Amino acid sequence: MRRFWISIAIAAGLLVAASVASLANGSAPVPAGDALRAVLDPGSVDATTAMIVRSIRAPRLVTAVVVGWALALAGLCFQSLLRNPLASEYTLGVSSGAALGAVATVLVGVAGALAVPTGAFIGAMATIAVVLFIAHASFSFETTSTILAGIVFTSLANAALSLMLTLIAPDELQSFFFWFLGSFASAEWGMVGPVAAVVAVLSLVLMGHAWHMNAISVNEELAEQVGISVTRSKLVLYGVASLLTATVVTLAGTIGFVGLVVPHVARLAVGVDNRRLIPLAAISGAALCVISDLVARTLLAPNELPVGVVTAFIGVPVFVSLMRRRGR
Amino acid sequence: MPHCGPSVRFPSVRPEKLSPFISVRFARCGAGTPACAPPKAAESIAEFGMRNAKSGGTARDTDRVLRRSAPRADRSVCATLSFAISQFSIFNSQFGRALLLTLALLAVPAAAAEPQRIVTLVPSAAEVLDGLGLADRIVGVTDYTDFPAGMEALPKVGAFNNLNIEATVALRPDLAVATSDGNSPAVIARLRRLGIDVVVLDLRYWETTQGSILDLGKHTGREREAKQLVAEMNRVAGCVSAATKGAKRPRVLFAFDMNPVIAPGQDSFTNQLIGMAGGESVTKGNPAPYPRLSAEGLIALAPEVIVVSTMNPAKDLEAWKAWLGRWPAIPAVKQGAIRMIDSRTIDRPSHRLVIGLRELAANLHPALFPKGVCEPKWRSSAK
Repeated sequence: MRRFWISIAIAAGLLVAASVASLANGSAPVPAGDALRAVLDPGSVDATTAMIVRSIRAPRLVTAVVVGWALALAGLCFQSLLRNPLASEYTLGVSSGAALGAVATVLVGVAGALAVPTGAFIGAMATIAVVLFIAHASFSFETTSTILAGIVFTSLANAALSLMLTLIAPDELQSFFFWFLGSFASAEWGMVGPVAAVVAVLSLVLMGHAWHMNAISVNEELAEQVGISVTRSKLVLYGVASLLTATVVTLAGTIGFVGLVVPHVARLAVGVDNRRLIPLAAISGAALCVISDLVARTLLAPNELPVGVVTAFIGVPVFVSLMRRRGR
Repeated sequence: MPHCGPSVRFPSVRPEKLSPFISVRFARCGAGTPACAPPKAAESIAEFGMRNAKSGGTARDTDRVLRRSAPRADRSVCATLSFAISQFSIFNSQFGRALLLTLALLAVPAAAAEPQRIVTLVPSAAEVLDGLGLADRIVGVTDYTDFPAGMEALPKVGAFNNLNIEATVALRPDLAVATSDGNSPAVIARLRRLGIDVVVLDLRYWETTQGSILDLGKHTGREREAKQLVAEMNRVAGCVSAATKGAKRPRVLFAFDMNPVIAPGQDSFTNQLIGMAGGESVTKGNPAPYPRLSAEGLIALAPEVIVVSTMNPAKDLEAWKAWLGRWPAIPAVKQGAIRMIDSRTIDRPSHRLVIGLRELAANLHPALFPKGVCEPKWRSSAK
């Protein structure tokens, strides 16, 4: 238990430090002191600084926190459900499926505030259904074939996305391109608030199912024997994970490797109990996204990198080193 | 107090705004200007200013109140109010000076409120602003903005399709100039929500470009210059049209790129310019915005002149000649009519497109355009 609290403290400390650095750094030269004063007492700094920090950097920071949080939980959920360390919303094609759903919604021209998130959710759910169906059709369910199905579906979804993007006028294509690789640049308070609320509720649902996740990740028959309705729990968990992915995709596009790597790092710190993994992975995921966004914004300022590029550059080496550890 | 003090926009405050200043200023604050504070708040601010001035409060106090009670009030409103409030304090204590000052202000010719700090969100916008004599007001540009001279040295706000909102806001612009087909509508809407005045130019066609130049001129108090630009565009176009009248119109393939060949589609500006220059674009009927042509498609179109838009004419001419040399059946290849045109004059829509128009016409009808015929005359305000 002590190890758990120390890990939480480290992750939270990292998140807070990264958040402060995020508010204080950017392409506009704002002294760190002014940036913090802009948050605490906006009247004490000049109007432009207050606007940059409060209307541009702060919503972006909160978006990064929410996205990282949600991605890590979605990844954790898929890994537990499929008993597969390679599972994540990205490798299973759920992110691409959600993106496909969102772009299709835009292309078809469905109006309404909830149209794109709904399209993304339908895309995510349909993807997981198709992937599990393909995996189920082959003889070894729950092992590599699930991931293979995910990879195959990702390629298909990406091809369909490319097709749709070529159908859209070139100027619209550009903004989709950045969205496709993940970006927090368009973050605004109006969008972040509702999404944060949804993610908070989903996190609580997940926390409530932590014990079920533990049982299912050990053995489904065993879980059934200890009185868990496995089918119902799995349905809820797949729904939660897909919804988490869909909200993230609507907010920031497809961002890879957070959902894959963060649960592994968390497991290394506190073991396999999901009751501890859920809070730790969520906070660590948030910290990773905030750091990645900070790098994406400042490395080549004033030009921005897609944040998905940065998470890949951070995530892949971490994942490779984890694999080497496991191999030994 | 750098942006809300009385001194800041002093010269641009119109005298007639000073006496009924609040009503005049806020009469403009309707549904169309969301950044404005409601009139009620403004009155209370003015009242506070008077009280504050009487009780010997400092400008800083006034300024604080201004910001607190109207945190999103636009800066010009803010400056006007601060100025007006400071007028009250002078009026109370030093009547004579105030009178002199007012007289001095009335003597200033009534110019429209000109933007002082402009950020351009596409390279074309800097060209148009230069034409209007506002190049020295530009404080930030997007990548690849190389005209007028001196733009490369200005702070960058990212690429036109990947704009850095933070860098844009940090430059404290009072005007941003965008285009309807280059900048994302979401980004433009966001800048407006952040209280920045954004003018969106429609530079897709000849007529819309002229309309946008006139609109921008009106918006920036440079109507006369805008009309001159449009008149000069029309003069050159009329000259080119007169010169090519009756001449045979060659079939033209215009190429933006070689591998694959990317050409202008159906209703593109480039095809419009080819028509104005006395040619027939072979890709005029292609429905795609930027059709890609295979070598086979190129041969089938049988262009009589091939015009290539390039930044590097010497190198590209060699490459195109080597590539097209394999298909001597193409009329343009047989006649050696492969020509290079500077992409900066033809691909970037602004009033300066007539330079490209003239160059294009000269490429299609070399004999009709000796040096000096139909040359556009532009003056640049850049230093």
